[in-house]
Amino acid sequence: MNLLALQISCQEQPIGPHRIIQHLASCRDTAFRKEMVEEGSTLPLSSSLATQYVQELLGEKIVCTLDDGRTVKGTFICVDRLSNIILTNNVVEERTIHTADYSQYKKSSLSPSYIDTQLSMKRHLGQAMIPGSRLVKVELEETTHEKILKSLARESS
Amino acid sequence: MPESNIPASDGKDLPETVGHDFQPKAAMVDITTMLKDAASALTFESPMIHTDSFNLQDSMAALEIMDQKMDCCEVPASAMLIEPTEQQNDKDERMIFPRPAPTGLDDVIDALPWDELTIEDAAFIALENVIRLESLLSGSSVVESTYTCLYSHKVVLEDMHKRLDPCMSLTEQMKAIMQTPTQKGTMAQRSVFASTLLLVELTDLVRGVILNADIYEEEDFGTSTFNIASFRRPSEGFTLKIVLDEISSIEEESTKLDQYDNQDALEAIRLTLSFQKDLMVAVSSLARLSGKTIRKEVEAAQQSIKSAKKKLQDSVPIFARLKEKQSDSVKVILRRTFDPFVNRPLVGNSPVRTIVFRDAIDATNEMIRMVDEVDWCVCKVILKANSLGRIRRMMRPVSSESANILTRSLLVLNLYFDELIFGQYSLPEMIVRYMRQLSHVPDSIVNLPTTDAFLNRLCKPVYDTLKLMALNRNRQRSYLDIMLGDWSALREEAYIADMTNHQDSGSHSELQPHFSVYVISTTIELMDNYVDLGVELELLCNEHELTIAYWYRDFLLSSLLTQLNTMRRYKLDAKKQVHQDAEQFPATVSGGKPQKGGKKKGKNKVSVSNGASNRTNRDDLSITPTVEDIEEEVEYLFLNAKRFLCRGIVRFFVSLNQAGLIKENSFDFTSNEIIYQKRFEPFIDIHQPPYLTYDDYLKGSDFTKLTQNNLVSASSDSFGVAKSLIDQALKHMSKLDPDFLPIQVEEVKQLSKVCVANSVYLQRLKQLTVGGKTNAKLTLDMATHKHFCTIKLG
Repeated sequence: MNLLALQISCQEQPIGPHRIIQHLASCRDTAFRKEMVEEGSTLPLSSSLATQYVQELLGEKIVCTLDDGRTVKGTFICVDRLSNIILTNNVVEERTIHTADYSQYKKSSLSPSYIDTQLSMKRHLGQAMIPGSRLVKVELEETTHEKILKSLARESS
Repeated sequence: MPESNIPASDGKDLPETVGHDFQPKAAMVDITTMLKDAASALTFESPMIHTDSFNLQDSMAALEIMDQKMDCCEVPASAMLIEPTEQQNDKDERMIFPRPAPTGLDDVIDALPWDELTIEDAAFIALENVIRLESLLSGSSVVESTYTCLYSHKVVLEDMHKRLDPCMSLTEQMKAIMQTPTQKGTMAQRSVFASTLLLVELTDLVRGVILNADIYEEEDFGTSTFNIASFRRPSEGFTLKIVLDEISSIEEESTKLDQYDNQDALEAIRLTLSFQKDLMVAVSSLARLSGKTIRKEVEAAQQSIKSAKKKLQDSVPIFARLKEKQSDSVKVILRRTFDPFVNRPLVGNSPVRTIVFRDAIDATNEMIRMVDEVDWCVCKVILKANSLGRIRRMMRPVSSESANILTRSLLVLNLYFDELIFGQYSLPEMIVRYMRQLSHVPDSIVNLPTTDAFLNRLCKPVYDTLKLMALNRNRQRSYLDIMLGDWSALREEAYIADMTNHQDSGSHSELQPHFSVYVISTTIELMDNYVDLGVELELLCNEHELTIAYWYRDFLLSSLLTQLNTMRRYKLDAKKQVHQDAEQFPATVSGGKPQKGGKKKGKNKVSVSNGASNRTNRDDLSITPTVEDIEEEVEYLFLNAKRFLCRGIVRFFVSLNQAGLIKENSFDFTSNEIIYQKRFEPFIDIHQPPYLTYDDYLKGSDFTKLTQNNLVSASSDSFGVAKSLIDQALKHMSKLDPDFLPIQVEEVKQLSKVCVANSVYLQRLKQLTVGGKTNAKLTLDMATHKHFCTIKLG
């Protein structure tokens, strides 16, 4: 059973991409595994598929969330062994700031009724590198994700 | 502007599907594990997954988010404190986003000081605005200077205007019609508004001047580079009206001595506002010169500049007194009003730059110097330089002293407009007069059609030689590279023009190639300037390269002097002829109409008025040297002095080499010959003077047949001759207007010092060689004069 068929069969019960990979591994699809062995791949099945997936992901827009809550959106062009990601093409960083950080000299900050407000700040960058050590989450538009899966399925069939 | 001030929904957890630019509220899929799995599967042999076009430059250009050195929006939290406490270890210090740009006077982050402003606060805010202006003019971008003042942001200015405009509401407008509108707001508030308006106005004005002059490539002066919205003035002259009203209000109030305790603060505000106003008026006037009233406008601008300078000078002691008794509340106000980090989100991928402003006194003195430059670099040049020679002599200090970008831009803007030099003089006529001054071009040649055509052809290259002096020193060298090609191509055209003129004039005398000689001499001057700049900019810096540079300069200056001697000979011959004619036929030479003043409009045409030519001929050929003759003579003497100085330095270096005090360079990837070829590459395509090869240099600098003593003596003689020429020139210089000196007095002293110092060290070398010592320490000192080194032996 190839990947596309698997995806179609899962349409009634949508599952995330990781589950798909696990399912594939557990299916023991001999034809698929045989093909991988013949290619000389020494990688575990899931890693190879993940690599293919990420290669298909190149040039697509992704959203990265960092450990301080900020998000960085841009076009994905590179990832390395440490999960450092490079984004390009009008990268937008969005983060929340707290007015309390700037109110050291604000008289009202001493007032008990003072309320810390939070604001969302955006800034635009040409190119940005997201350090892998601070990366928490990477998200992709569902339509793009499905497009990639279909592409992978076509390649494997 | 960064998109800002959108309250987050709950402030703690951002929603999982974050609203994004490419599709509103699109469903998102978490692919974190997929990506991390792929990343962890990568090996050293294949360490990255990347697009085909990804390259090293992309990886280097990417800004590392959250890195303190690369990411300019990581600001230490302690920087936001009024009084920074002792900082913790840098690694542990909490980093926050820079303070967002204000959204008005009642900004949610921190309301800007307004109701609580005092006169003292206003005075110091005005002073800080002057410091920002000085920073802008010294080369900082608008985001690093003007817009670090939070009041200067558009929304804040609009807010201030709304609160202070006496005619904002309908009721107030009706009142204004019935009677004089009363002022709104306090004096401190109005002063801050006026001072900030002037800062923004001057920023926009400076930007306009620099962009129009187009001698500076970077866009740092432009607000559009950073998407900063500039405050839109409601009407023409709005700023000037506000400022004049405020100044008169302050003057009126300051007479009420009992009203304000702080007269110094009032006076400081008045002087600062007046200074900025005068500067604004002068610069706007100089940026828009046109028509028949140019001289009056420039004179008026000059008066404004002098007034601005005086006011700033008067403010210095007042601010010094205010600083001594500056209260802590003022410091708090200034911290809240000026923020060097506020614009960091606008600079994108630019590297982190620490913004440092000069101390108030230093900034004010620097501002005084810059304002003074507008006077002597722009106003004086436009008013006094009435010949090509004088324009060149007056513009040389602009170049050598690296005048401010605003000054140089104003000079370039006004260099050629309304099809006239400085809007006053026809360029072809100026070229003819200059050639007559140097070599006397007879009327029989000047009046020919081919001359007309060639002079029009010469206009652009001659204009370029003047514009060159308004560029900064680094850009001059690159621009010279291009100009040398243009002037080299002109040589043939000049020769054709000379030949044609000689035939058309029907003259049976020997051909005098006036145009060729002029073009060649200008080409050589440019070449000499090119090498000179290489030494100044330290592109030619070690002993070997400096020997080459001075050797080549010796050759170029000798060639230039040969050309100048040719021109002087033509002029001398013509003088002799005219005076012989005058003695034989006195009646035919007398009379002639005075040259009419006024400008030549339209196409650049040579004056064909015989009366004008005849009068000019007599002036050029009078026995008594004119003032311009003396100016040219002084310039000639200095060229000669520099030639001997170069000669002396070359022989000094060769002596040191012979004495074993200079080590031979050894290279793995290049050679002395390749370095030589690279340094003089632009000269290869120039036919006259011919390009000198490395072999020519080796032959020309081979003094092996001379003994060390003879070489040292020859070098010493060269320095001696240079010194005597300088002394001779100094005597003539005392008779000249200081503005028309070909070389400043300070530089003359420097040249003298170089001659004397090198002579002294030559004697030291003699002692060392007699004593057989070969391990003396050799230092090249360019501090005395940036073009001629002093060779020190320790």
